[in-house]
Amino acid sequence: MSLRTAIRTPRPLAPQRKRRRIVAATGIGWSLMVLGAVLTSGSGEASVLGHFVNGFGLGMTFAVYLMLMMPWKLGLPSLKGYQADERQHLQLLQAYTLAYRVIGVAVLLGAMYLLIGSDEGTRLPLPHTREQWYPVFWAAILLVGALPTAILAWTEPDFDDGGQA
Amino acid sequence: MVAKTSGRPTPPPLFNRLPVLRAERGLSRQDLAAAVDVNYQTIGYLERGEYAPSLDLAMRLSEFFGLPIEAIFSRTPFTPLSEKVYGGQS
Repeated sequence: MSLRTAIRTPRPLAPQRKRRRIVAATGIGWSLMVLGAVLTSGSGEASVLGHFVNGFGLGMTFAVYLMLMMPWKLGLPSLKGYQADERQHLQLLQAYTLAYRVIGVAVLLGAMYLLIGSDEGTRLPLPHTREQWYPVFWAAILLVGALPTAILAWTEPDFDDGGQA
Repeated sequence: MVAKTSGRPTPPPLFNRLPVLRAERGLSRQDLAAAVDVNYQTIGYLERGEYAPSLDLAMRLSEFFGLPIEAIFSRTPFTPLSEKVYGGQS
């Protein structure tokens, strides 16, 4: 299918403030999961609070993750349905390239951490329980699945429509 | 995001007459975008010189306006039409 025949009427680009709020909410949700995971390693009330915070963070992250998985709803280019034109394909390519680099560095650092942490002499905290593994799984899911969209959502400026005839 | 380059020399700017041509024909960005099959935001990027079109898109614009490509895009700034018509007259 050629690009010329594939362009459909796009949704208007969502305001940058809204798009950035969604990206920030993802980060906050994930941070809450981490906080919850840390708290669950404590005892008594801290552990109960940790489960609650972890669950809340998980729900929040999942909700905004769904939004990032549908970039066309925010007016952002997407490969799905070949809705993008040549400029948007270039944008996507740049976002995917940057995401690939970030994921590469994150995987490398994560592997190093696990390698060093699993050494018996070191005392680095490692995930053991299900709640403690949630942030790790979600970090992988978010990085692989939503990072390119998050980059576009964060960087794409608001559309200047000043030159309308 | 598109304008960013990593370490490569920045290409010289590409000037264009798209806003004038569009205004002459009374077209909105959406109209022009639909005519050349691009996203309407892309027309804004082109007009502001923030995106250099592919040869294919440049030719589509050229065909649409019925003008040669060099009448629409140029490496040097275009002379304003008023100056061309009334240039040198006081």
